[in-house]
Formats: sequence, C-alpha cells, structure tokens
Amino acid sequence: MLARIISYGLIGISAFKVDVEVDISNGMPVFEIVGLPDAAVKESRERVRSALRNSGLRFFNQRTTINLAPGDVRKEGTLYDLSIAVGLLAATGQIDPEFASSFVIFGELSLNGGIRPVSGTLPMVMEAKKQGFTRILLPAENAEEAAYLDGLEVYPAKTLFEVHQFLSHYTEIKPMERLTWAFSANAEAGAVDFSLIKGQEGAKRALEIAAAGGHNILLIGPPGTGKTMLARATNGILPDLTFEEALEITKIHSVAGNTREIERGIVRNRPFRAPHLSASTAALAGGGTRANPGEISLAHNGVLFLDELPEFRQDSLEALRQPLEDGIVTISRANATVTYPANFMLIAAMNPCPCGHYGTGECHCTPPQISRYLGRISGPFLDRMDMQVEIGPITYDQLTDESSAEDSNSIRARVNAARAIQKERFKNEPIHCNAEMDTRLLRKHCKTDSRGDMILRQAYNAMGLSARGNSRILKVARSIADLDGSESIKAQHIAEAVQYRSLDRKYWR
Amino acid sequence: MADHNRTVGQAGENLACEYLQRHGMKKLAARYRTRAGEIDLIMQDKDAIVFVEVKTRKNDRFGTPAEAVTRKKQATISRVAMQYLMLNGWEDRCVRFDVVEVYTEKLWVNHIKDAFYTRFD
Repeated sequence: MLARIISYGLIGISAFKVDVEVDISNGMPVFEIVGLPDAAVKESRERVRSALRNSGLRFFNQRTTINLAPGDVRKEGTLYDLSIAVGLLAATGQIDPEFASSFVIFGELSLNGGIRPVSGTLPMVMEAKKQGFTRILLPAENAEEAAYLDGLEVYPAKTLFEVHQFLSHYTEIKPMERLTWAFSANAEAGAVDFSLIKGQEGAKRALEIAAAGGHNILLIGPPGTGKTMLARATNGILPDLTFEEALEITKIHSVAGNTREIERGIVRNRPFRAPHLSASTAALAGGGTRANPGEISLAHNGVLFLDELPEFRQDSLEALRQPLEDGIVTISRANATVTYPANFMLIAAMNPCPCGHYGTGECHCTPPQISRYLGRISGPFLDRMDMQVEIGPITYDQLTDESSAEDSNSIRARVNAARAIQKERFKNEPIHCNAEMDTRLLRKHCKTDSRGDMILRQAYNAMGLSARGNSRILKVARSIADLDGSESIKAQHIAEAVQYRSLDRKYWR
Repeated sequence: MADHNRTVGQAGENLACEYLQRHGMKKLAARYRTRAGEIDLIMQDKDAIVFVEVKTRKNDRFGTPAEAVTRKKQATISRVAMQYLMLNGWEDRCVRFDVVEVYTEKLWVNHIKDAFYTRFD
C-alpha cells in the first residue's frame, strides 16, 4: 500500500516541503530510501525498525520503498525518522492514513521508540505556515520553538507509541498553548554596567551612538585602559529586541543547534559573540562540509566583538568585508550554496602598536614594527568601521573617583528611544536600524542643511574620504540626530560624526 | 576433514528441513544450485517463498552459526533467489530470507525468521 506524509527539510535556514512517500509491496525484501538521502537519512532504516518493534508495533520485512520528494534536492539529517515511521504505519494500515497526512511531521527516533529533538524547527514551521499547513506534529522538546507563532496547532510528541495512539484516534495529544514573547534585557544577562567604568566619557558616548544605530566601531588604545570592558558593557545598552528580530535570530541559532542561546524556544536577548583570535575563516564567516553558519551569522542582530583585531588571521578578517557591507553571507560548498543573514554590529578593539603605547609616550616599537602591525588591518576593512575611537589612559584621580557614572539602564533608555524613531522610519522596509540603510534610503532620510553639507564637503576633500566613507558618516550622523530627537540632521550632528572618522588618519598614515 | 564437514552439513540440512516441515512449511527445493551459487532450502510458508540458509556447528565456541552468514553469503543467496523467482514467474510473491542454526552437540535447532534483507553488493 502507498502512503504519503508531509515533512520539511532544510538548506541553510531556508526550509522546503518534503513529501515522504512510502510504498510497501510483495517481492524480495528490500528497504530502499531514494530521493538523494545522505548517510544519516539512510541509517534511519535501522532506527525506524527498532523503534517500531520496541513500541510494540509491527514492522514488515517486505519490499519497501521510501521516496523523499522532490528527488533532486539533497536530504540531510535525522529529522525524517518520524515521518518515515508514520508512513510505514499508514502504509500497513496500523493508523488512519487520512488523518496522518493532515499533519506536518518531523523528528528523530531513538531505538526505544522515544522521539528526540531536531535542529531547525523554527524555519521549518514558519515555512509550513507560509505554505498553508496548520497542524504540526513534532518532538516535544522542539514544541516551544513553534508555539510562538499564531494560527498553528502544535502537537508535541514524546514517543512513537503515543503518536500511533493519537493517529489511530485512541487517545488525544493536547496541542501546545500559544506562548507569548517577552524580551529580557541584555543587562540581566550579566553584562558589565557602564557605571562601573571610570572616565572614558568620549568612548561611552561613541558606544551609545553605535548601539543606537547599529554602527561598527573600532576602539584603539593602550593595554589596560578598558577597551574590552567597554565592549562587554555595550552588551547591556543594546536596544530591546523586537519579536521579528528575535525570530530571525532564533532561526539561525535553531539551525546551528545552539540550544544554549535558545531559552524556552526563542532567543530573548541580542547575541554578543566574542570569538577567540585564533578563529578560522570557516568559524567566522561560516562553512564546513554542511555549510554551517559562522560567528557573524550567530551575531545577527547583535554584536560581534573582535578583541585584539590585528592578531586575527588576515584572510579571516578580509572574509568579513562583504558581509559587513551587505548584511548577508553566501557560503558555497560542493553540495550546497547557502545564504545566511549576517547583520551584526562589529566592535573591534586593538592596540596602536605591538607594545601598545604608541601615541601616549613610552613606545618601544620601531616604525617598521608599527606599520607592519597596523598594516594587518587593510584599508577596505578600516573603511567599513563607521566610528573609530581612541581610548586614552585614565588618570589616578579618575580611577579613584567615587561619584558614580551614568548606569547602563539610563543609557539604554536613550538608545531605545532612538531605535523607536528608526523603527517608525523603517516600518515599511525590511531593515531595523540606520546602519542597514542602502543608497536609496540614505537619499531619503539623511538630508542635512547647508552648514552640515559644507562640513561634509570639507571633510570629504581634506580627509580623502571614499564614497562609502561619506555615506557611513551620514548614517552615523542620522543616529546622532535620532539620539538628539532631531528630525533633520544638523551641522553639529555631522561634525560629531566626522570626528569619529578621523582616527584612522592619525595611525594609518 | 573436508569430507567430514560435508557430511555434518548435509545432516544439518536434513534436520532443518524436517524441523521446518513440522512447523507447517512445504519443501519446494533443496540444495538449489545455479551458476551464481547455492541455496540450502527453499520452502513455502503459507503465501511466502522462504529461502533458507542452514548453518551447522557443534557448538558456539567459535561464534554462532548465524554469524557465519556474511554479507557476501547474503548477496549470493539474494542473487540465486532472484533467479529462482524469475524462472518460476514469482517476482510478485511475498519473499523472506531465513537462517536456521543447527547445533549438533546439543542437537538443537534455532530458526531465525526474516534474517536479512535482499543484498546485491
């Protein structure tokens, strides 16, 4: 008999519908899975057989052919186990086939008949919803991930036996209650509070602007002045996450199988990724045989923090140039070409020279040493840093100052206000913040007055800016104006933005 | 020694055949041989055609008899079975591969139904 079960598969973070067709007939006993299965899918035969037998269900050693349609797309992973098992039950008349085919079914089986969680639940369920399916039967451990979407009946299953009872109308599985989304501020996730950082008011202001508009920022300064601490503290002033952004982030982390980040089915705060400087290109940009998402995609809608920037492998850094510009990364491998979103705010920290004290006295480095060190950061890479801030040494009086500085919560309130303006501005656009604006939006939203235009013209000529540098200054100025609550970009906003571009001239010339 | 093994094997096959017949199966062929190889017993169990490999051992000191049915042996049996079914026009019948273990020391028979899938590699 023939049975058909609907399931879903994944390429990167995009899901596609898979029809699991099961045909059982007489003839020589074979169990064949066709439709470009990989090794994990082929092995599902053994899991399905043991799971069925150990659930007290019948497994027929007959001529069995499983087709995973469409037949020209590679199928990976263990998520077809459950749909194959249900298909076998339907084809052998052990359950109601009509009822079974009204569900989208996926899940991994264990030999004892238990249902194990799979990665990528959210993108699959979202795609199923888009294609008009409403009933989802999935592993209980993945159910929460699907329960945030409305208009779906999500049935959590723990064992194959339970599924058999449910699809034979013997018992009911209670669908999930819809969960509502609640943001939890990154401050609660253990970030350093800004009030604990003494001095560095200029850098704090710059980080506030960067957080408000999602701009990349480079911190240069001697060792021990608080670059790393400032970067980590920024985690606590990032704007509140919206539900749409949370879904985007969860999709990526779900595919990466990153359950640590996902709490009760959904990511609740902006990611803050700080890969070690030994990270390879594949680890940063994404890759591996299965074209997995890299750190830059895991940092989507959040922060990627690269401490000791010149110590990173140069080819790894150059690989970030294209994603820094486009907000997406396309990874090509022999068996897959995958595009992941990679819209992150880059915070980079570095010393001005190998010994770390260049520009502030006592530097022991020779000029060639310094230029070699700085030369590891290429011009094009530097051009993509919207803001460059020098972190100077702090005085003893600043350090021992007992009067407490402004805390992260009040800074975040301002950042949130600026983001609210941006959200309203981009409500009909697929972007979230100023840094993501393209040329068309730049023209529309970044008009300045004649004085501002004059400052920009002077800076363009005097600093030898690139066209990209010019538009990045405008975006930063937009964020400064938003923090100011100003509709138009005024001369002082432009002036401040220009000032954040001037540092590369000091060191890289 | 070789002669001895052959005799033991033969005795085991007879024993196995008797056992299966006592359990309601009909004998279709014994020592069915083609150019591809040999199948010890071909039986009929209700509608199903059953190809049986008989393995005879004194005891399981050197592994169970069933373990001696290697992938290669399974492939040989599958190929011969295919020929048999085609010659009889029985491609659409229900088919099964069984293994029967015969222990001569204890005079004990173990019947493993559905021992393996068709295999051609």
